[in-house]
Amino acid sequence: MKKEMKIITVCGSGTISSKFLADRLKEELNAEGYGCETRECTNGEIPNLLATGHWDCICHASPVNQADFPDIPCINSVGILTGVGDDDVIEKVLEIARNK
Amino acid sequence: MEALKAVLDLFGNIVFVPVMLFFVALILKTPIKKALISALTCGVGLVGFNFVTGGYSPYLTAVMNTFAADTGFALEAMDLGWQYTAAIAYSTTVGVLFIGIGLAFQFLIFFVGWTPVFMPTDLWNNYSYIIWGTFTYQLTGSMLLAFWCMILQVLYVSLFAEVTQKRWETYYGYPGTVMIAAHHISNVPIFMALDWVWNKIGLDKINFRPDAIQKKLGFLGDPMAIGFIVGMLVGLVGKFKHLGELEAWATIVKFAVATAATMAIFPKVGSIFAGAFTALTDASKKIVKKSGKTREVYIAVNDALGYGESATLTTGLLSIPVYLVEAFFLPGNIVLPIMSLTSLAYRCEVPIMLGDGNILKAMLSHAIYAALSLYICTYNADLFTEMATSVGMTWEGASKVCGGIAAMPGMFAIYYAFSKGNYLVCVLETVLYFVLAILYKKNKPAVNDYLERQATSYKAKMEEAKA
Repeated sequence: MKKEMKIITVCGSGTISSKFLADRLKEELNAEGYGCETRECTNGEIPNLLATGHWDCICHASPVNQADFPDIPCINSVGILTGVGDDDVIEKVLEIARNK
Repeated sequence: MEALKAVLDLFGNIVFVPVMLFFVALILKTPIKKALISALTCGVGLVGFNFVTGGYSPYLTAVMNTFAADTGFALEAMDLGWQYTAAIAYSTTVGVLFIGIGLAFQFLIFFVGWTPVFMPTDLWNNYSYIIWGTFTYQLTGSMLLAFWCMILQVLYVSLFAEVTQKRWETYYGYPGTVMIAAHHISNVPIFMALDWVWNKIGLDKINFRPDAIQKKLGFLGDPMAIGFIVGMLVGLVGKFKHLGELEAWATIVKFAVATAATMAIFPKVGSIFAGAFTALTDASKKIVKKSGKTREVYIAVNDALGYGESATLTTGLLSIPVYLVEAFFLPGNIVLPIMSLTSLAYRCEVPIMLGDGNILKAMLSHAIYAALSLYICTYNADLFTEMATSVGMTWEGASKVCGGIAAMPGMFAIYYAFSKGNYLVCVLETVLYFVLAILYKKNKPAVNDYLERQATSYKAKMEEAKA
Protein backbone atom coordinates (compact mmCIF):
# COMPACT_ATOMS: atom_id res chain seq x y z
CA MET A 1 0.00 0.00 0.00
CA LYS A 2 1.13 3.52 -0.75
CA LYS A 3 2.43 5.34 2.32
CA GLU A 4 0.58 8.59 3.09
CA MET A 5 2.50 11.48 4.60
CA LYS A 6 0.57 14.06 6.60
CA ILE A 7 2.40 17.37 6.81
CA ILE A 8 1.56 20.70 8.43
CA THR A 9 3.07 23.67 6.58
CA VAL A 10 3.39 26.92 8.51
CA CYS A 11 3.83 30.56 7.59
CA GLY A 12 2.65 33.94 8.88
CA SER A 13 -0.94 33.87 7.61
CA GLY A 14 -1.12 30.26 6.49
CA THR A 15 -1.58 31.59 2.99
CA ILE A 16 1.28 32.11 0.57
CA SER A 17 4.56 30.61 1.76
CA SER A 18 2.89 27.62 3.42
CA LYS A 19 1.09 26.93 0.14
CA PHE A 20 4.38 27.07 -1.79
CA LEU A 21 5.90 24.61 0.69
CA ALA A 22 2.89 22.30 0.43
CA ASP A 23 2.91 22.25 -3.38
CA ARG A 24 6.61 21.45 -3.60
CA LEU A 25 6.50 18.75 -0.91
CA LYS A 26 3.53 17.08 -2.60
CA GLU A 27 5.33 17.10 -5.92
CA GLU A 28 8.54 15.61 -4.48
CA LEU A 29 6.81 12.99 -2.32
CA ASN A 30 4.53 11.90 -5.15
CA ALA A 31 7.56 11.54 -7.40
CA GLU A 32 9.08 9.14 -4.86
CA GLY A 33 5.88 7.15 -4.69
CA TYR A 34 4.42 8.53 -1.48
CA GLY A 35 1.03 10.06 -0.99
CA CYS A 36 0.93 13.44 0.70
CA GLU A 37 -1.72 15.40 2.53
CA THR A 38 -0.91 18.91 3.70
CA ARG A 39 -2.57 21.61 5.73
CA GLU A 40 -1.43 25.21 5.59
CA CYS A 41 -1.68 27.15 8.83
CA THR A 42 -0.34 30.00 10.98
CA ASN A 43 1.89 29.57 14.02
CA GLY A 44 -1.07 30.04 16.35
CA GLU A 45 -3.10 27.34 14.66
CA ILE A 46 -0.51 24.54 15.09
CA PRO A 47 -1.69 23.28 18.51
CA ASN A 48 -5.32 22.99 17.37
CA LEU A 49 -4.32 21.27 14.17
CA LEU A 50 -2.09 18.78 15.99
CA ALA A 51 -5.05 17.88 18.17
CA THR A 52 -7.04 16.78 15.11
CA GLY A 53 -5.07 13.57 14.63
CA HIS A 54 -1.73 12.15 13.61
CA TRP A 55 0.73 14.31 11.68
CA ASP A 56 4.18 13.26 10.44
CA CYS A 57 6.06 16.54 10.51
CA ILE A 58 5.80 20.33 10.59
CA CYS A 59 7.50 22.16 7.73
CA HIS A 60 7.78 25.84 8.56
CA ALA A 61 8.64 29.08 6.78
CA SER A 62 8.04 31.35 9.77
CA PRO A 63 10.01 30.37 12.89
CA VAL A 64 8.68 27.41 14.88
CA ASN A 65 10.41 26.32 18.07
CA GLN A 66 11.03 22.57 18.15
CA ALA A 67 10.96 22.71 21.96
CA ASP A 68 7.30 23.81 21.83
CA PHE A 69 6.35 20.66 19.91
CA PRO A 70 8.60 17.89 21.25
CA ASP A 71 6.55 15.04 19.77
CA ILE A 72 6.79 15.92 16.11
CA PRO A 73 9.78 16.83 13.91
CA CYS A 74 9.84 20.54 12.99
CA ILE A 75 11.74 21.18 9.77
CA ASN A 76 12.92 24.66 8.80
CA SER A 77 11.85 24.74 5.16
CA VAL A 78 12.95 28.20 4.08
CA GLY A 79 15.26 26.50 1.57
CA ILE A 80 12.24 25.57 -0.53
CA LEU A 81 11.26 29.24 -0.78
CA THR A 82 14.71 30.52 -1.70
CA GLY A 83 15.71 27.59 -3.88
CA VAL A 84 18.99 27.37 -1.94
CA GLY A 85 19.21 24.28 0.26
CA ASP A 86 15.82 23.00 -0.91
CA ASP A 87 17.26 19.53 -1.52
CA ASP A 88 18.25 19.23 2.16
CA VAL A 89 14.71 20.06 3.29
CA ILE A 90 13.21 17.54 0.89
CA GLU A 91 15.72 14.87 1.95
CA LYS A 92 14.69 15.36 5.59
CA VAL A 93 11.03 14.88 4.73
CA LEU A 94 11.76 11.85 2.54
CA GLU A 95 13.76 10.37 5.41
CA ILE A 96 10.67 10.59 7.63
CA ALA A 97 8.56 9.05 4.88
CA ARG A 98 10.98 6.11 4.44
CA ASN A 99 11.00 5.36 8.17
CA LYS A 100 7.27 5.53 8.47
CA MET B 1 -10.33 48.58 -27.81
CA GLU B 2 -14.00 49.20 -26.97
CA ALA B 3 -14.92 45.73 -28.21
CA LEU B 4 -12.12 44.20 -26.15
CA LYS B 5 -13.34 46.02 -23.06
CA ALA B 6 -16.89 44.79 -23.65
CA VAL B 7 -15.63 41.21 -23.88
CA LEU B 8 -13.57 41.64 -20.70
CA ASP B 9 -16.56 43.00 -18.82
CA LEU B 10 -18.71 40.14 -20.04
CA PHE B 11 -16.33 37.39 -18.91
CA GLY B 12 -15.07 39.22 -15.83
CA ASN B 13 -11.86 38.80 -13.88
CA ILE B 14 -12.52 35.16 -12.99
CA VAL B 15 -12.00 34.20 -16.63
CA PHE B 16 -9.79 36.96 -17.94
CA VAL B 17 -7.08 36.84 -15.26
CA PRO B 18 -6.55 33.05 -15.49
CA VAL B 19 -6.22 33.30 -19.27
CA MET B 20 -3.53 36.00 -18.95
CA LEU B 21 -1.75 34.02 -16.25
CA PHE B 22 -1.74 30.98 -18.51
CA PHE B 23 0.16 32.87 -21.20
CA VAL B 24 2.63 34.39 -18.72
CA ALA B 25 3.30 30.87 -17.39
CA LEU B 26 3.93 29.59 -20.90
CA ILE B 27 6.37 32.44 -21.57
CA LEU B 28 8.26 31.40 -18.42
CA LYS B 29 8.50 27.91 -19.97
CA THR B 30 6.04 26.20 -17.61
CA PRO B 31 4.79 22.86 -18.98
CA ILE B 32 1.36 23.27 -20.55
CA LYS B 33 -0.47 20.98 -18.12
CA LYS B 34 0.95 22.84 -15.12
CA ALA B 35 0.11 26.18 -16.73
CA LEU B 36 -3.49 25.08 -17.25
CA ILE B 37 -3.83 23.97 -13.64
CA SER B 38 -2.27 27.26 -12.49
CA ALA B 39 -4.78 29.23 -14.52
CA LEU B 40 -7.74 27.27 -13.22
CA THR B 41 -6.46 27.59 -9.63
CA CYS B 42 -6.32 31.34 -10.11
CA GLY B 43 -9.92 31.49 -11.30
CA VAL B 44 -11.08 29.28 -8.46
CA GLY B 45 -9.32 31.50 -5.92
CA LEU B 46 -10.95 34.63 -7.36
CA VAL B 47 -14.41 33.05 -7.17
CA GLY B 48 -13.60 31.94 -3.62
CA PHE B 49 -12.86 35.52 -2.56
CA ASN B 50 -16.27 36.58 -3.82
CA PHE B 51 -17.91 33.69 -1.99
CA VAL B 52 -16.34 34.73 1.31
CA THR B 53 -17.05 38.45 1.05
CA GLY B 54 -20.53 37.67 -0.28
CA GLY B 55 -21.20 35.37 2.68
CA TYR B 56 -19.84 37.87 5.19
CA SER B 57 -21.75 40.85 3.80
CA PRO B 58 -25.17 40.21 5.39
CA TYR B 59 -23.63 39.98 8.88
CA LEU B 60 -21.60 43.12 8.29
CA THR B 61 -24.65 44.95 6.96
CA ALA B 62 -26.68 44.00 10.04
CA VAL B 63 -24.15 45.67 12.31
CA MET B 64 -23.15 48.57 10.09
CA ASN B 65 -26.60 49.80 9.04
CA THR B 66 -27.02 51.71 12.29
CA PHE B 67 -23.32 52.06 13.14
CA ALA B 68 -22.59 55.57 11.91
CA ALA B 69 -25.94 57.06 12.95
CA ASP B 70 -25.83 55.58 16.46
CA THR B 71 -22.19 56.01 17.35
CA GLY B 72 -20.98 59.00 15.39
CA PHE B 73 -18.06 56.91 14.14
CA ALA B 74 -18.15 57.30 10.38
CA LEU B 75 -16.10 54.23 9.53
CA GLU B 76 -17.62 53.63 6.13
CA ALA B 77 -14.61 52.11 4.37
CA MET B 78 -14.17 48.42 5.09
CA ASP B 79 -10.57 47.21 4.99
CA LEU B 80 -10.68 43.96 3.01
CA GLY B 81 -7.22 42.79 3.99
CA TRP B 82 -4.18 41.93 1.94
CA GLN B 83 -5.38 38.73 0.33
CA TYR B 84 -8.34 40.46 -1.26
CA THR B 85 -6.22 43.48 -2.16
CA ALA B 86 -3.79 41.19 -3.98
CA ALA B 87 -6.63 39.47 -5.83
CA ILE B 88 -7.91 42.86 -7.00
CA ALA B 89 -4.44 44.00 -8.01
CA TYR B 90 -3.73 40.95 -10.14
CA SER B 91 -7.09 41.43 -11.85
CA THR B 92 -6.34 44.91 -13.17
CA THR B 93 -4.98 45.63 -16.62
CA VAL B 94 -1.93 47.30 -15.09
CA GLY B 95 -1.47 44.22 -12.91
CA VAL B 96 -1.50 41.73 -15.72
CA LEU B 97 0.98 43.84 -17.71
CA PHE B 98 3.20 44.31 -14.66
CA ILE B 99 3.52 40.57 -14.01
CA GLY B 100 5.34 40.47 -17.34
CA ILE B 101 7.11 43.83 -17.58
CA GLY B 102 7.87 44.32 -13.88
CA LEU B 103 9.25 40.82 -13.59
CA ALA B 104 11.42 41.30 -16.67
CA PHE B 105 12.75 44.53 -15.13
CA GLN B 106 13.56 42.80 -11.84
CA PHE B 107 15.52 40.15 -13.74
CA LEU B 108 17.29 42.86 -15.70
CA ILE B 109 18.56 44.96 -12.77
CA PHE B 110 19.89 41.79 -11.19
CA PHE B 111 21.58 40.34 -14.25
CA VAL B 112 23.28 43.58 -15.32
CA GLY B 113 24.66 43.75 -11.77
CA TRP B 114 22.92 46.97 -10.74
CA THR B 115 21.63 45.26 -7.58
CA PRO B 116 22.65 42.07 -5.74
CA VAL B 117 19.00 41.63 -4.73
CA PHE B 118 17.22 38.96 -6.76
CA MET B 119 13.60 40.07 -6.48
CA PRO B 120 11.68 37.55 -8.63
CA THR B 121 11.76 34.82 -5.95
CA ASP B 122 9.15 36.86 -4.08
CA LEU B 123 7.01 37.32 -7.14
CA TRP B 124 3.79 37.17 -5.14
CA ASN B 125 4.28 40.51 -3.42
CA ASN B 126 4.37 42.39 -6.71
CA TYR B 127 0.73 43.27 -6.10
CA SER B 128 2.05 45.95 -3.80
CA TYR B 129 3.45 47.91 -6.76
CA ILE B 130 0.43 47.20 -8.94
CA ILE B 131 -1.94 49.00 -6.57
CA TRP B 132 -0.04 52.25 -6.99
CA GLY B 133 0.37 51.81 -10.73
CA THR B 134 -3.35 51.22 -11.06
CA PHE B 135 -4.18 54.29 -8.94
CA THR B 136 -1.85 56.37 -11.12
CA TYR B 137 -3.48 55.01 -14.27
CA GLN B 138 -6.98 55.68 -12.91
CA LEU B 139 -6.12 59.29 -12.11
CA THR B 140 -3.89 60.27 -15.03
CA GLY B 141 -4.91 57.83 -17.76
CA SER B 142 -1.22 57.50 -18.55
CA MET B 143 0.28 54.04 -18.79
CA LEU B 144 3.71 55.69 -18.99
CA LEU B 145 3.31 57.38 -15.60
CA ALA B 146 1.84 54.19 -14.09
CA PHE B 147 4.80 52.07 -15.14
CA TRP B 148 7.37 54.75 -14.36
CA CYS B 149 5.90 54.95 -10.85
CA MET B 150 6.00 51.18 -10.31
CA ILE B 151 9.50 50.77 -11.76
CA LEU B 152 10.79 53.61 -9.56
CA GLN B 153 9.17 51.97 -6.53
CA VAL B 154 10.90 48.70 -7.48
CA LEU B 155 14.22 50.56 -7.60
CA TYR B 156 13.74 52.29 -4.24
CA VAL B 157 12.60 49.05 -2.64
CA SER B 158 15.60 47.13 -3.98
CA LEU B 159 17.85 49.82 -2.48
CA PHE B 160 16.14 49.93 0.93
CA ALA B 161 16.08 46.13 1.02
CA GLU B 162 19.82 46.03 0.44
CA VAL B 163 20.33 48.62 3.20
CA THR B 164 18.45 46.45 5.70
CA GLN B 165 19.72 43.11 4.38
CA LYS B 166 22.40 42.68 7.06
CA ARG B 167 19.89 43.49 9.84
CA TRP B 168 17.32 41.06 8.40
CA GLU B 169 19.92 38.32 8.07
CA THR B 170 21.32 38.92 11.57
CA TYR B 171 18.08 39.38 13.47
CA TYR B 172 15.89 36.78 11.79
CA GLY B 173 18.72 34.40 10.99
CA TYR B 174 18.24 33.72 7.29
CA PRO B 175 21.68 34.00 5.71
CA GLY B 176 21.88 35.21 2.13
CA THR B 177 18.26 36.31 2.01
CA VAL B 178 16.62 39.71 1.97
CA MET B 179 13.06 40.68 2.85
CA ILE B 180 11.62 42.47 -0.12
CA ALA B 181 7.87 42.99 0.48
CA ALA B 182 7.43 46.52 -0.83
CA HIS B 183 4.69 47.43 1.63
CA HIS B 184 7.19 47.11 4.47
CA ILE B 185 10.56 47.87 2.91
CA SER B 186 9.39 51.13 1.33
CA ASN B 187 8.97 52.49 4.88
CA VAL B 188 12.57 51.83 5.90
CA PRO B 189 13.58 55.54 5.94
CA ILE B 190 10.60 56.39 8.19
CA PHE B 191 11.41 53.57 10.60
CA MET B 192 15.11 54.45 10.61
CA ALA B 193 14.28 58.04 11.54
CA LEU B 194 11.87 56.97 14.28
CA ASP B 195 14.35 54.46 15.67
CA TRP B 196 16.97 57.20 15.83
CA VAL B 197 14.56 59.37 17.83
CA TRP B 198 13.70 56.53 20.24
CA ASN B 199 17.40 55.88 20.84
CA LYS B 200 18.03 59.59 21.46
CA ILE B 201 15.46 59.64 24.26
CA GLY B 202 16.78 56.42 25.73
CA LEU B 203 13.96 54.02 24.93
CA ASP B 204 16.45 51.45 23.66
CA LYS B 205 17.34 50.74 27.27
CA ILE B 206 13.81 49.65 28.12
CA ASN B 207 13.72 46.08 26.98
CA PHE B 208 10.58 43.99 27.54
CA ARG B 209 11.07 40.29 27.06
CA PRO B 210 8.46 38.86 24.76
CA ASP B 211 8.23 35.30 26.07
CA ALA B 212 6.11 36.03 29.14
CA ILE B 213 3.77 38.34 27.21
CA GLN B 214 3.49 35.86 24.38
CA LYS B 215 2.46 33.04 26.71
CA LYS B 216 -0.34 35.19 28.10
CA LEU B 217 -1.45 36.28 24.64
CA GLY B 218 -1.00 32.84 23.10
CA PHE B 219 -4.72 32.31 22.55
CA LEU B 220 -4.70 35.38 20.30
CA GLY B 221 -2.32 33.60 17.95
CA ASP B 222 -5.30 31.94 16.32
CA PRO B 223 -6.92 34.24 13.75
CA MET B 224 -10.32 32.84 14.71
CA ALA B 225 -9.93 34.12 18.29
CA ILE B 226 -8.92 37.58 17.08
CA GLY B 227 -11.86 37.59 14.65
CA PHE B 228 -14.33 36.68 17.37
CA ILE B 229 -13.06 39.21 19.91
CA VAL B 230 -12.85 42.06 17.44
CA GLY B 231 -16.23 41.12 15.98
CA MET B 232 -17.76 41.28 19.45
CA LEU B 233 -16.06 44.60 20.10
CA VAL B 234 -17.16 46.25 16.87
CA GLY B 235 -20.63 44.75 17.27
CA LEU B 236 -20.96 46.08 20.83
CA VAL B 237 -19.87 49.54 19.78
CA GLY B 238 -22.19 49.49 16.76
CA LYS B 239 -25.23 48.34 18.72
CA PHE B 240 -24.40 50.36 21.83
CA LYS B 241 -27.83 52.00 21.96
CA HIS B 242 -29.68 48.70 21.57
CA LEU B 243 -28.00 46.53 24.18
CA GLY B 244 -31.33 46.10 25.98
CA GLU B 245 -32.73 44.22 22.99
CA LEU B 246 -32.20 40.50 22.52
CA GLU B 247 -32.23 40.94 18.76
CA ALA B 248 -29.23 43.26 18.95
CA TRP B 249 -27.30 40.66 20.95
CA ALA B 250 -28.11 38.03 18.35
CA THR B 251 -26.80 40.34 15.64
CA ILE B 252 -23.62 41.04 17.62
CA VAL B 253 -22.77 37.42 18.39
CA LYS B 254 -23.61 36.26 14.87
CA PHE B 255 -21.38 39.02 13.52
CA ALA B 256 -18.56 37.91 15.86
CA VAL B 257 -18.81 34.28 14.70
CA ALA B 258 -19.00 35.37 11.06
CA THR B 259 -15.92 37.57 11.54
CA ALA B 260 -14.06 34.63 13.10
CA ALA B 261 -15.12 32.50 10.14
CA THR B 262 -13.93 35.09 7.65
CA MET B 263 -10.58 35.38 9.45
CA ALA B 264 -10.19 31.59 9.28
CA ILE B 265 -11.44 31.01 5.74
CA PHE B 266 -10.00 34.03 3.92
CA PRO B 267 -6.36 32.86 4.21
CA LYS B 268 -7.36 29.44 2.87
CA VAL B 269 -8.89 31.03 -0.20
CA GLY B 270 -5.82 33.23 -0.49
CA SER B 271 -3.80 30.05 -0.33
CA ILE B 272 -5.69 28.55 -3.28
CA PHE B 273 -5.23 31.77 -5.23
CA ALA B 274 -1.50 31.82 -4.42
CA GLY B 275 -1.19 28.27 -5.70
CA ALA B 276 -1.60 29.74 -9.15
CA PHE B 277 1.70 31.56 -8.70
CA THR B 278 3.75 28.53 -7.63
CA ALA B 279 4.64 27.65 -11.20
CA LEU B 280 5.83 31.19 -11.97
CA THR B 281 7.94 31.37 -8.82
CA ASP B 282 9.52 27.97 -9.45
CA ALA B 283 10.57 29.09 -12.91
CA SER B 284 12.25 32.19 -11.37
CA LYS B 285 14.13 30.18 -8.78
CA LYS B 286 15.69 27.88 -11.36
CA ILE B 287 17.12 30.91 -13.11
CA VAL B 288 18.83 32.42 -10.03
CA LYS B 289 20.32 29.11 -8.92
CA LYS B 290 22.65 29.18 -11.91
CA SER B 291 24.13 32.61 -11.18
CA GLY B 292 24.41 32.34 -7.39
CA LYS B 293 27.89 30.88 -7.40
CA THR B 294 29.73 33.67 -9.15
CA ARG B 295 28.87 36.82 -7.19
CA GLU B 296 27.15 38.29 -4.14
CA VAL B 297 23.45 37.46 -4.31
CA TYR B 298 20.66 38.22 -1.87
CA ILE B 299 17.62 36.10 -2.57
CA ALA B 300 14.32 37.83 -1.93
CA VAL B 301 11.99 36.16 0.53
CA ASN B 302 8.63 37.34 1.75
CA ASP B 303 7.61 38.72 5.10
CA ALA B 304 6.15 35.39 6.28
CA LEU B 305 9.63 34.37 7.38
CA GLY B 306 9.67 36.93 10.17
CA TYR B 307 6.09 36.56 11.34
CA GLY B 308 6.35 33.91 14.06
CA GLU B 309 9.46 35.32 15.77
CA SER B 310 8.55 36.06 19.43
CA ALA B 311 9.18 39.80 19.60
CA THR B 312 7.58 40.36 16.19
CA LEU B 313 4.46 38.35 16.95
CA THR B 314 4.09 39.89 20.40
CA THR B 315 4.41 43.44 19.04
CA GLY B 316 1.85 42.59 16.37
CA LEU B 317 -0.64 41.35 18.96
CA LEU B 318 -0.08 44.26 21.35
CA SER B 319 -0.58 46.67 18.45
CA ILE B 320 -4.10 45.40 17.70
CA PRO B 321 -5.86 47.47 20.42
CA VAL B 322 -3.69 50.49 19.59
CA TYR B 323 -4.66 50.26 15.93
CA LEU B 324 -8.36 49.89 16.76
CA VAL B 325 -8.29 52.90 19.08
CA GLU B 326 -6.59 54.92 16.35
CA ALA B 327 -9.19 53.83 13.79
CA PHE B 328 -12.05 54.84 16.06
CA PHE B 329 -10.69 58.09 17.44
CA LEU B 330 -8.42 59.67 14.84
CA PRO B 331 -10.44 62.58 13.47
CA GLY B 332 -11.26 62.15 9.80
CA ASN B 333 -10.48 58.45 9.59
CA ILE B 334 -13.12 56.40 7.77
CA VAL B 335 -11.33 53.02 7.72
CA LEU B 336 -12.69 50.05 9.68
CA PRO B 337 -9.62 47.82 9.78
CA ILE B 338 -10.96 44.37 10.68
CA MET B 339 -9.25 42.17 8.11
CA SER B 340 -5.85 43.79 8.62
CA LEU B 341 -5.65 43.05 12.33
CA THR B 342 -3.94 39.68 11.99
CA SER B 343 -1.26 41.15 9.73
CA LEU B 344 0.10 43.77 12.12
CA ALA B 345 3.00 41.49 13.04
CA TYR B 346 4.23 41.69 9.44
CA ARG B 347 4.23 45.45 9.64
CA CYS B 348 6.30 45.32 12.82
CA GLU B 349 9.15 43.37 11.22
CA VAL B 350 11.14 46.37 10.00
CA PRO B 351 11.04 48.31 13.31
CA ILE B 352 11.70 45.09 15.24
CA MET B 353 14.81 44.21 13.28
CA LEU B 354 16.10 47.80 13.33
CA GLY B 355 15.64 47.89 17.11
CA ASP B 356 17.03 44.39 17.73
CA GLY B 357 13.71 43.08 19.04
CA ASN B 358 12.79 46.06 21.22
CA ILE B 359 9.02 45.76 21.62
CA LEU B 360 8.38 49.22 23.04
CA LYS B 361 10.23 51.03 20.24
CA ALA B 362 8.54 48.91 17.60
CA MET B 363 5.08 49.49 19.07
CA LEU B 364 5.59 53.26 19.10
CA SER B 365 6.96 53.24 15.55
CA HIS B 366 4.06 51.14 14.39
CA ALA B 367 1.51 53.39 16.09
CA ILE B 368 2.80 56.46 14.25
CA TYR B 369 3.08 54.67 10.96
CA ALA B 370 -0.39 53.10 11.35
CA ALA B 371 -1.92 56.54 11.89
CA LEU B 372 -0.30 57.78 8.66
CA SER B 373 -1.50 54.65 6.92
CA LEU B 374 -5.11 55.14 8.08
CA TYR B 375 -5.11 58.66 6.63
CA ILE B 376 -3.64 57.48 3.33
CA CYS B 377 -6.21 54.69 3.26
CA THR B 378 -8.98 57.22 3.87
CA TYR B 379 -7.59 59.54 1.19
CA ASN B 380 -7.52 56.72 -1.38
CA ALA B 381 -10.75 54.94 -0.36
CA ASP B 382 -12.71 56.20 -3.37
CA LEU B 383 -9.95 55.21 -5.76
CA PHE B 384 -9.68 51.78 -4.18
CA THR B 385 -13.44 51.27 -4.36
CA GLU B 386 -13.40 52.28 -8.02
CA MET B 387 -10.55 49.83 -8.70
CA ALA B 388 -12.33 46.97 -6.92
CA THR B 389 -15.58 47.65 -8.77
CA SER B 390 -13.82 47.85 -12.13
CA VAL B 391 -12.53 44.28 -11.80
CA GLY B 392 -15.95 42.97 -10.82
CA MET B 393 -15.46 42.48 -7.09
CA THR B 394 -18.69 42.75 -5.13
CA TRP B 395 -19.58 43.36 -1.50
CA GLU B 396 -22.34 44.81 0.64
CA GLY B 397 -22.55 46.38 4.05
CA ALA B 398 -19.93 49.04 3.48
CA SER B 399 -20.24 51.93 1.08
CA LYS B 400 -16.50 51.90 0.38
CA VAL B 401 -13.74 49.34 0.50
CA CYS B 402 -10.02 49.78 0.99
CA GLY B 403 -6.86 47.87 1.77
CA GLY B 404 -4.57 48.83 4.62
CA ILE B 405 -1.75 47.20 2.75
CA ALA B 406 -2.34 49.59 -0.11
CA ALA B 407 -1.81 52.58 2.18
CA MET B 408 1.84 52.41 3.16
CA PRO B 409 3.48 55.82 3.68
CA GLY B 410 6.70 54.92 1.84
CA MET B 411 4.93 53.81 -1.32
CA PHE B 412 2.52 56.74 -1.10
CA ALA B 413 5.39 59.24 -0.87
CA ILE B 414 6.87 58.00 -4.13
CA TYR B 415 3.47 57.75 -5.82
CA TYR B 416 2.01 61.15 -4.93
CA ALA B 417 3.75 63.19 -7.64
CA PHE B 418 2.85 60.54 -10.24
CA SER B 419 -0.81 60.67 -9.25
CA LYS B 420 -0.77 64.41 -9.89
CA GLY B 421 1.04 63.99 -13.20
CA ASN B 422 3.81 66.30 -12.01
CA TYR B 423 6.60 65.31 -14.38
CA LEU B 424 9.17 67.64 -12.81
CA VAL B 425 8.86 66.03 -9.37
CA CYS B 426 8.77 62.57 -10.97
CA VAL B 427 12.10 63.29 -12.64
CA LEU B 428 13.55 64.70 -9.40
CA GLU B 429 12.46 61.56 -7.51
CA THR B 430 14.14 59.43 -10.14
CA VAL B 431 17.34 61.45 -9.93
CA LEU B 432 17.22 61.26 -6.13
CA TYR B 433 17.07 57.48 -6.35
CA PHE B 434 20.24 57.33 -8.45
CA VAL B 435 22.05 59.74 -6.12
CA LEU B 436 21.08 57.66 -3.06
CA ALA B 437 21.93 54.39 -4.80
CA ILE B 438 25.40 55.60 -5.81
CA LEU B 439 26.09 57.11 -2.37
CA TYR B 440 25.06 53.82 -0.79
CA LYS B 441 27.22 51.71 -3.06
CA LYS B 442 30.22 53.85 -2.07
CA ASN B 443 29.48 53.74 1.67
CA LYS B 444 27.89 50.35 2.14
CA PRO B 445 30.16 49.15 5.01
CA ALA B 446 29.68 52.45 6.87
CA VAL B 447 25.89 52.29 6.52
CA ASN B 448 25.85 48.68 7.69
CA ASP B 449 28.00 49.59 10.70
CA TYR B 450 25.71 52.48 11.55
CA LEU B 451 22.61 50.27 11.51
CA GLU B 452 24.30 47.59 13.62
CA ARG B 453 25.40 50.25 16.12
CA GLN B 454 21.91 51.74 16.29
CA ALA B 455 20.43 48.30 16.85
CA THR B 456 22.82 46.95 19.43
CA SER B 457 24.36 49.92 21.25
CA TYR B 458 21.78 49.46 24.04
CA LYS B 459 23.70 46.42 25.26
CA ALA B 460 26.78 48.47 26.11
CA LYS B 461 24.64 51.24 27.62
CA MET B 462 22.89 48.77 29.89
CA GLU B 463 26.19 47.25 30.98
CA GLU B 464 27.41 50.76 31.81
CA ALA B 465 24.30 51.50 33.83
CA LYS B 466 24.81 48.33 35.83
CA ALA B 467 28.44 49.21 36.58
